[in-house]
Amino acid sequence: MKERIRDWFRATYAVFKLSFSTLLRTKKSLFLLLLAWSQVGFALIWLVSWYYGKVGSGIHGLGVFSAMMVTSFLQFLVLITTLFYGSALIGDEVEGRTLAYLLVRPLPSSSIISGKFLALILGSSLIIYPAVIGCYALLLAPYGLSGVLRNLPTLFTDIWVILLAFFAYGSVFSFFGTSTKRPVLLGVLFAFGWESIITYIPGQVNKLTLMHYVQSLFPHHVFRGDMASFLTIFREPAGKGTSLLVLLGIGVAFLFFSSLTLANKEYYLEQ
Amino acid sequence: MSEKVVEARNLSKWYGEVVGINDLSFSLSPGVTGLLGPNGAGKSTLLKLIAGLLKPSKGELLVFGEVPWKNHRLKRRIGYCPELDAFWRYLTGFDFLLNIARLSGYSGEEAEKRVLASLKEVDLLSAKDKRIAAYSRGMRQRIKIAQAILHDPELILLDEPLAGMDPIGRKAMIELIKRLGKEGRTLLVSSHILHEIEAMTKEVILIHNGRVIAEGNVHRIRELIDEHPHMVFFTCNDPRKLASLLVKYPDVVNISFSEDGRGVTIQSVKPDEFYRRLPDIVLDNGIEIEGMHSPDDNLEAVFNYLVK
Repeated sequence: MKERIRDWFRATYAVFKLSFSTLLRTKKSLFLLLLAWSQVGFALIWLVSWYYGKVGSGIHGLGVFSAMMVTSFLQFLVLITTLFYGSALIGDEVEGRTLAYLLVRPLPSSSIISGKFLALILGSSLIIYPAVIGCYALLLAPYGLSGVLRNLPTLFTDIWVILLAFFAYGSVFSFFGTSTKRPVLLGVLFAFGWESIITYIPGQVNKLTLMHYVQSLFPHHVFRGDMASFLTIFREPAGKGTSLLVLLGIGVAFLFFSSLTLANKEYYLEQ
Repeated sequence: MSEKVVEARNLSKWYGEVVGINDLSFSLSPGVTGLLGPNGAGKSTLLKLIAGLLKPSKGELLVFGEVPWKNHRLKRRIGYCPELDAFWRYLTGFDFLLNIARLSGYSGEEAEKRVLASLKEVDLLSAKDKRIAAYSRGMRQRIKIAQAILHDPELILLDEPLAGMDPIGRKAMIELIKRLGKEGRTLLVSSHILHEIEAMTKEVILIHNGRVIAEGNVHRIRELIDEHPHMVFFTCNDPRKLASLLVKYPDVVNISFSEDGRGVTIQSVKPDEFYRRLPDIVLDNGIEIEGMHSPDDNLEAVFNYLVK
């Protein structure tokens, strides 16, 4: 038993190493990096505008950071990064016809999925977190070191909520990538259709979206009635415990489904 | 049943309505076995079934007495070289194999040792630090063979391993395959070229349209082929004279001329005798042969004979 567990971790690590180095070299990583750092560019523009007194006195850097976190990072960058990486998890190996090299090795499907998923989480983190920290530093810079330090708990909460979002969305998109032929199309419909449109439907149906639970954990409630409120609809949040359980549960469930699909599906790799 | 390395009984595989393998029964013992068949015969499908990449639609397939589908532990004992020319091309040959070694469960020095040994086997040590993207087709074929043998498998499945190789590389790989077979491993090597397989083994399985049409010693296959008229096409200075000289022999069963009148196709039921007498006839009668080829060298034609 001990041997098997050790073999599983070894196999997962081998898949992770290969997948992560492959992931970093894709064009989509460069594209996502540019998208993420464009936010840092906006933050820099804001800082320069503030320096030259072009920013209204009612607009606080933390408010701008909050708006950016919700609208740019959470509702767009996290979704698109996990969508691109998740759909490519197995999809890229099928497209590149390299999947056979993995499937003819003594690797349990759960190792393949877990190793690749870890690569997704680390890859997404490397794309998103530096940009988040960059935006935070630039937008809070006008308030000095004390302002930056005082709001650090908000930043840390952002970071772990984003991690949870990576986990939940990443596993859903990984499942799409493992089980369907057009995971990106399905992912776009899910991320920017279901997850967005459903929030505009009156009643409790928004509880059927992952975004509801992610936003419930997010510390940025300042946007209600704030500058970004026209971009978001926010209802009563779910409890923190519930949100955490839902996001973790969805993440684990879809990873399990992905693993099951990989074990049972025949992949036809054609020249 | 357990003495056989691979045993298939009434094995079938369909892709929707397309038949890949049709009611195929055979067994494999240690040594090299050639899997011969024209393109689309079902060779790759059969290899993928044995490698556990595909699930049989019907019938039974056992590898070392176990079902290969969804059996990742069995894959320690199997080496598979795919036909597809696919790689993580940013990797060097060494790194590609190192990753394969890690995926096979090796780490540290043991992994590197195996990588270097398999690179040496396929004569790619000098190119180990080159990116695979910069490899020639022949080198890519060799690195694919290296990844199939790196973990020292007992059963090695090679799908068209000699495709795209230069004559020297081809010879070296044939020697390697023969040696691996002599070491007691079981190798199933697919090809659509008869003489390639003849160079590495006497044991062959002939497959056509997903069915085994002959199995056993390659000489028996040759006999089967020779029972059918052998076709030879000549271009020469006087095709009609050549035809009139050859038609006298009883083994020549059919003669036809090309539309431009410069070529003649002869069909003989005894090709060995035909080729033996041909030089004398040509020299004695002053016929200048400009070109000669046998459409039957194409395995597709041979299979068409055999399945009739």
